[in-house]
Amino acid sequence: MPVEHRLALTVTAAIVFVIANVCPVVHISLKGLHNEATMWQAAAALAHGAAAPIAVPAALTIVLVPFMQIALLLWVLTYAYSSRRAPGFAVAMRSLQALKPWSMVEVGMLGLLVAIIKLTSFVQVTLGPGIWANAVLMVLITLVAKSDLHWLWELTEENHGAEVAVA
Amino acid sequence: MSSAIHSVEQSAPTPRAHQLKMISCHSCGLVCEDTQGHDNHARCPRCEADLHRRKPNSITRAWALLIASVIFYVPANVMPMMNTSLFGSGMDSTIMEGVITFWKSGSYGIALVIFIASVAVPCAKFLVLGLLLVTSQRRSLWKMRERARLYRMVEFIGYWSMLDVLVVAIVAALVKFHGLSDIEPRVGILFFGMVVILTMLAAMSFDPRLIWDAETGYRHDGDMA
Amino acid sequence: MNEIPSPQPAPDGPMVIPPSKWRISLIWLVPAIAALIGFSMLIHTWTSEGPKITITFNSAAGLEAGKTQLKYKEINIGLVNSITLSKDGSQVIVHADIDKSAAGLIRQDSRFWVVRPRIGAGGISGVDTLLSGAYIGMDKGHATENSRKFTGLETPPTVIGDMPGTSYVLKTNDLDSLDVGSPIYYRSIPVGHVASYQLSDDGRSVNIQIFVDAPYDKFVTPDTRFWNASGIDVSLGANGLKMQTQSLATIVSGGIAFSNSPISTAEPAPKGTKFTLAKDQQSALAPPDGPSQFIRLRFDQSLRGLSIGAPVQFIGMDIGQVRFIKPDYDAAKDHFATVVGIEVYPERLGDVLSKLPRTEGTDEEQLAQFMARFVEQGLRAQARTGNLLTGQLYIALDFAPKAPKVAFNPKARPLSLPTISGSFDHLQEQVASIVSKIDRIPMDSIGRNLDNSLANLNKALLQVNGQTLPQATQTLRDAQEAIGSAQQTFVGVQQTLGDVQSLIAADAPLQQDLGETLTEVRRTARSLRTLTDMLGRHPESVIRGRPTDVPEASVSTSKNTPDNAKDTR
Repeated sequence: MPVEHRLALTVTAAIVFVIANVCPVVHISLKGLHNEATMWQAAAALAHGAAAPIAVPAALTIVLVPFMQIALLLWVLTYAYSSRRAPGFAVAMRSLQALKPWSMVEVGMLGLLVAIIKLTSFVQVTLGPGIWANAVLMVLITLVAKSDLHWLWELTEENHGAEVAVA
Repeated sequence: MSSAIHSVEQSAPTPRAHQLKMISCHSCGLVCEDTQGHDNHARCPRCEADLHRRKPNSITRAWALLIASVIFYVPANVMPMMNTSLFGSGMDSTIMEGVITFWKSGSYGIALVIFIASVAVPCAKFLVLGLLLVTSQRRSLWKMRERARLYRMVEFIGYWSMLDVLVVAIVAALVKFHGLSDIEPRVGILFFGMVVILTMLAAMSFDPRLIWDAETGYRHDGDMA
Repeated sequence: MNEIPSPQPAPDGPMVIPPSKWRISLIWLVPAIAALIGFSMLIHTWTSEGPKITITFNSAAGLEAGKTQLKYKEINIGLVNSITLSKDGSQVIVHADIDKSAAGLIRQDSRFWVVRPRIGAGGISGVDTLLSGAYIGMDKGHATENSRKFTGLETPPTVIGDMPGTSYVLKTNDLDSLDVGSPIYYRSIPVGHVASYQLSDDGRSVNIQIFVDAPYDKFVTPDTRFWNASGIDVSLGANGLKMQTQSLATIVSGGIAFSNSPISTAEPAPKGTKFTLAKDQQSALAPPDGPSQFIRLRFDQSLRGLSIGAPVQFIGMDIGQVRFIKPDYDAAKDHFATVVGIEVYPERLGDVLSKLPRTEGTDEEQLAQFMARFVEQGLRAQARTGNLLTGQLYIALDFAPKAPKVAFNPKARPLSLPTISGSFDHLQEQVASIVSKIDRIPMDSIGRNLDNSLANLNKALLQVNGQTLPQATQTLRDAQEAIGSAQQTFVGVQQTLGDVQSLIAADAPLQQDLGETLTEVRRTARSLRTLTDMLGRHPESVIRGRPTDVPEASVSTSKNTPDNAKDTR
């Protein structure tokens, strides 16, 4: 995928990320009482129970890591668009590599599905706009961040000259 | 990185990176000259990540993390993972109870999904990782390709176990009608989350190249011999 | 420099497409579309936002930021956004977002109040509020300008919405079981409700604002009487048990009923007219009490059971009530008496007043003259038991013809009515005398005698049992035997009789023989008689023999006496 495409998709992902986390994903109503939640609120809900520490990994996997991925990619790709290496390129690239296994937006989607089916038995469930945004985000992140990024190194290598490994 | 490369010439065994005195960077993939000695560490010339021939202390770490996650798996299933209260009367439910409830109420699909994600996958990971560690430790030559595939599978499905944690999170965030109906997470889900994270870390610590080291007899210092 | 064997051909460098500043690739449509969607959503939320208003309340009880809704005519029109304290901390400021569609409802004189769950007024209103908390109700105003700052009402207002109808004010001493929302009945049909109530400024009465729906409000005229029709009006007074109800709702939450006199032709009362709320239907429909007169009574007995407010009855009619009860000490007689002050309303007698002989003077003088007249005829005050269960007393003014004459001073103030002891006291005396009579019966000696008799009887019975009875048994047995033998004897006798019977049968030879023998005996006897006669006449015949002039006695059986009689002269 050429850099331009990747960048465009990353920009899309950024916009979609905002929608996905600002708009509530699911809206429930029970006997006239309503409630709704965004992905962030879902992770935060774990923080109040007895399992409070698990809220941190939950928030990381479905909100923070995707955010970092998009942010870093934008950073790197905008420079890469003009075939340059962004400042802190190495750090950014290493971080992106490390973040890959921890980005779980798709697990979040499946979790939403299971939760919705679980809830329909006793409350009325309406899907919010956030859920569609999350679905799109899931696809986009898979496209831009989950694939190999080594080529970026090579793409931007020319400006740093041919590197010969000298240990 | 250095699995056997099928070349036209099959008579001569393909050289390994260490034989060619090459080392690849796990972060950026650059292959560069391996000149480091036993004790000093080098960094990748382009991405400055630490270079390792094999993941450091792979088997030790993997065992430690695996055992820890197995230990945590007991309270994860024994302690309740969430508390559902309807009109004030609350009911704790564990993972298995949730599966059974779904099954009994006719949602076979959901019951299956949760069962797979919360029981089948972690147990499979335990078994597979255990198998990989044992066989690598003993330098077994048994079914190496299959083991490599197993490892890739473990890596791939590993993080889907997080499903249960996120389901509890979403449900707890939504059902918050004080007095009428309330769902709260309980400590079981913390242990379960730890299990998922630890097994993921264990899989990440295990260096799959160790599977193939038995073939070449390569011993890397720092492993549990 | 190491040689790097290349098992594969060296890859080409990637094709770097120089970014064209002028030609934008189609891929940028994707983020463009995303941006568009996001933007439109933003615009949508922005434009669908209605006005934001602030309402000031004294307390935020039941209100929850993000949850509490605002409702107009039971439809959600907004949501409470946040709740903050005012700067001086004395009030609560509620920030609410109103739906765009309801923006037109917010006028300058719109009113807001908190609707909390209420149990009353015909049931539980709004079960939802119990679960979901309170909500803010709203009344659309009539003004044309908008406003964004409001002061909330602490209690729901009297007229909600543009409901047609009229509101009035009722004045009463006690709220009793009435509450906001208590129904108002006309001929047992609910026609309105209580809107609100407040204590009057002087604290002596309660003002109730009621709202009567159209078209029933035209039945409320200045002559209308209102009364408290609350269900549980169980008065266990001296009059007995009294219970009336309009409907089940009134039992729960109280209610007010009203009615008009059938001859009333007045126009409907204007809004805000003040009425008095009577305690019950009887007192509401009763003719006005009229002025009251105060009378003092003096009782020589204990008046336990008489309470202030107890009714005073005149020949069975309620004419007043007891105002106070005080003890009094009579130094002359050296004992305590009870002074009761009663208040009577002569007008309650109604039309009868016109039939009474006319008198002159002030009301008090008139009453005094009345009383003087009737005291002469025996009008006395008496404390009677109104309720045996509770022992409550009431004062009865009644005629007791046998009462001793008492001097009545019509000029004494306060007017004092003579009293006689109550019927219950008589009963007490009678019971006391019966008890003393029973006491005088010598129970002891009766008992002792009875005891002795019983003991004797016991002994006698023992004897009978022990001796007499076996003897008697024996005797009976003997008698039985005797009877048995007697029976046999009897049989023998019967046989003998039978023989005898056969013997003396008419043709029995025995009878014949017997007959002949008797004949012979008769002849012999005759002859003997003749002899003796002769001897009697001629005693010398014994010696000389028979005289010759005496014929030989002929034996004739048929003729006897005449011959003999001749012979024996």
